[in-house]
Parts: sequence; structure tokens; C-alpha cells
Amino acid sequence: MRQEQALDSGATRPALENPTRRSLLLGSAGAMAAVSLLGFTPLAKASEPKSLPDFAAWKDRNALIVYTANTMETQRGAIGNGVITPTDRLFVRNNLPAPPATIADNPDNWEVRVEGVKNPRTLSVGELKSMGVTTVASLLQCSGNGRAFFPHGASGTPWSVGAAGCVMWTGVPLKDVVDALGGPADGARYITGTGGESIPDGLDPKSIMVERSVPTRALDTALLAWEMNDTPLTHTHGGPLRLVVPGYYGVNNVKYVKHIAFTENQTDAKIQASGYRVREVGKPGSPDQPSMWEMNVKSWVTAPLEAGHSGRNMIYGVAFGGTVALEKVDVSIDGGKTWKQGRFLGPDLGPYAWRPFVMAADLSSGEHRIVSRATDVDGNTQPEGRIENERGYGHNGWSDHGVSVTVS
Amino acid sequence: MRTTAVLVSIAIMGLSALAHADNTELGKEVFTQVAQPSCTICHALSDAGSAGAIGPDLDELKPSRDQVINAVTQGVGVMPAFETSLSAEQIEALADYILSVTTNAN
Repeated sequence: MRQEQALDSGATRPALENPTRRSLLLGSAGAMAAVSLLGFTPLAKASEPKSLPDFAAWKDRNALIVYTANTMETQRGAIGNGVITPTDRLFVRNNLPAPPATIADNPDNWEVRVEGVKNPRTLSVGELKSMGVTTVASLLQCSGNGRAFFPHGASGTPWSVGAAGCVMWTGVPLKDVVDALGGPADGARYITGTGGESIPDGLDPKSIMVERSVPTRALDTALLAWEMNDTPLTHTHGGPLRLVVPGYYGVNNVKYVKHIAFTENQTDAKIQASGYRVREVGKPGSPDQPSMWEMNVKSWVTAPLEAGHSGRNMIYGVAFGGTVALEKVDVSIDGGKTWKQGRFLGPDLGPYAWRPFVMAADLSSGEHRIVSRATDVDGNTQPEGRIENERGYGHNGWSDHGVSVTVS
Repeated sequence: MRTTAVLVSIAIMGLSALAHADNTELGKEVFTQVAQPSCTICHALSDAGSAGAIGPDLDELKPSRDQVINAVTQGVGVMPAFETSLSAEQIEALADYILSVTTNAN
């Protein structure tokens, strides 16, 4: 039955173009013949709709593509044109199984230990709430959002565009906490956050623990958040307490954060040392390669996705600059030959939020390749192509992110 | 002649089926005992009685043979590479085993 598996995975993954995969498909023709001789009829495996895992059972199933219990992507067509992504549509990506839901029952009791400061302390969420509060709109995006477009079959979840959403985070500025504890210790260069997931016996904790280091420049904006979109942060998304680093890729926003340290060096946990590192295809990850920290400028169209009507169409999309405010977004209905500037839609919620955009276009009958290209205020703009890399990280090329729309 | 050919091919198929059975037994042993850390710590697989939840549930994921071989050989994400600790034969047996218990045979 090998061939069915290969065909099935090929149908849902652009990696079908991978030559290794293709030869595997050819090679299994013989196996299929042998199976038929024995009287078994190979049946195509039915694509069973996966149900939501218990810890995310409250999410909107129809708005999500469910890959595994820990990986769910927002459907491109469910992104909509609002600035804020509804919580039940937001993607989910957990590196480890979530702790039991009961940890969020009494959120004020959750404790976080803060070290690498002049006066290290353990603080409860209840105490944090009296130290300061801020609300920031920030895009949450997985490092591998866009991985599906890499032709080499990068390992990992084949996210298309929906491993991203823009939400409001409410919590205490990390700087307020650190100031109250006497400031960072001398020589601190990184903020290292550790998640509270439990790790099974028999494994080296460093090999799987979620512990990430970000440069101390993030202290200006980082917060310890207990609310998302004005409601208590669910354990599905990291509650009772999550380290939020606006403008940084999702993995740095440590869920169930139980330990924050100001450190001279980056953690040697695998997720930091060799994971989330950008390198050439075929190379292993290592600490000397760029880490997935600040997000780059990016955009994509959210409607129409497949079909349009001839005449005036409203083309919608979302655009963001990572840690830099956006200057503009251009839209092309001819695959990038000619461009026209789109209009930002809705309020500007700051540099870390995305900007929905819209552009009215007259579409003639036939096939249109609709693409978008964002530019930030520093002049960074999306490239046309992708930067090939082993794990398919950080893809912001405008060409792959376009849509082919048939107009009738 | 034709009868002989049919008999021979049945015999060959029988042998290969036997060899395959041995392979899946070895694969199960690799899954539950030989690999360190054990596959069972991180992966749910009902045939092996494991309920690990760190990595994908293999009954649900139903990985292809090359997915198993690539993941086990090179590692994926937090999953370590077993290239140096398992032989190619052990990794292939493991893939055969996982396929044999996660693929619908009917």
C-alpha cells in the first residue's frame, strides 16, 4: 500500500515536484502490480476530515486546515478583511503537547521565575497585573508560513499562508517587570524564555524543551501577556501567561512561560541552537546561522482566490512589515507585469499589526494571476522569488504567494 | 511450463511475504526497544501500545515509507536523527512495520 501513501501525500503537498518523490511513485508501480496479483485491490485512502484535538475543540473547524493535533492553519479564505483575527480562527502551532487545560483555571496563580536581573524573583500573574499593563496589536506568524511553496519538500508542516493572524495582546511590559527587579544583570545580551510544558522521562529535556533566546533589543517591546483579544488567554494559545515579542516569529512567543532569564548567551536547547536556523538546503542547523527572530515584510491576497466575475472586482489582502511600519502595498492582476497601489483598509494599529488592503480592479474574462507586494517605511520590499533554505523559513516572495483566478 | 511458472511465482511471493513478516517483527522491536530514545516515548501507535504525544500520532499521520525513512535517518524538527544509532536495515524494517500497521489493508 506504499504507493497510496505516496500519492496521497503528493496530492496535498507541492513537494510532488521533488524528484525523489517522483521516482518513488514510479518505483511503486511494480509493488502495486504485485499486490493486484495477490487479489487485493488497492483503494485510494479516503481523506478523512480530521477533528479538532481536545485542547482546541472550541476553535472554528471550518476556518481551519487541521494537519495534526498540534498544527492547524487558518484557511486562506477565512482570513477575512478585518485587522484583528477572531480568536477561534487563529492558527495553532504547539511545539510540544499543551499542558492540561486546568492550568488556566486560576490564571492569577501561575508563577514565572525571573532571573538574570539584579533582584531575581518568582512572580504570580496576580502580582504582574499590579506592576503595569499595556495592549499591543501584533501579528503572530509561524517561521515556516509559506513552506508549502518550497519545491524541495522542506520537512515540517506544509503551511501555505494561514499560519498567521493579527491579535491584541494585553499584559505587563517586560521592561516594567525588569525595572522593578533592579534591571538586567551586567553583560546580559539575550532574553531567554522557557515554556511550562512537561517533558516525558527518557528524553534529554534540552532536545525538545521550548526555550528561546531573543536579543535584549526586544526588551523595548516584549510583554508578558495574559489576555488575547480582550479575553483571558486560553491554554490553547499559551495561557495563563505568554511571552510576546512583537514583530518576532511565533516560536519566540513562548507559551505557558514559567521562566525568564537575562543571559549572556543564547540557550543551548535544541530549538534555539539548531532549530529555527536559516541555512542552505541539505545542511544541518547550527548556532552560527541566522535565527528566526524579526519577521520580514510580506503580503498576500485573501480574495478572490479562485473565481471572479468579469467587471469590477474588489481584491482584498493583508500586508505587514514585521517590526517596521508599512509604506504601501502594490497589487498586480497580470502576474507582476504592471502594478497599482492598493488602499489600506481599517485603522492602523501600529507597526506590529498587519494592514488589510483592498484594490478595485476591472477583470476581463480569462485567467488572472493576482499578486501583491508590500514595502515598509525603510524601503524594504518583498522579493519576487524565494530564498531557498532547508526548512522553508521566512518565505516572503510575492510570486509564490499570488493566486490564479478564473474570471467568467 | 505455465503451471511451473505460476507455482514458482507463488513460491517466490510466499517467501517474500515471510521475509516481510520477519522484517515487521524486527521493525516492531526497533520501535519499542532498540531505538534510543524509544519511539514509544514520543509517538502514539496502537499496534505498539504506545501513547507518546510529543511527536505525531502515527495511526493518524499514516506516514509514507520515505517519510519514515527520512525522519528516522535525518531527524525532523525536535526529532533526533537515528542515522548513527540504527542500521539501514533496522530503519527499513521500522518503516515496513509502521506502514504495515497504519495502512488500511482492506
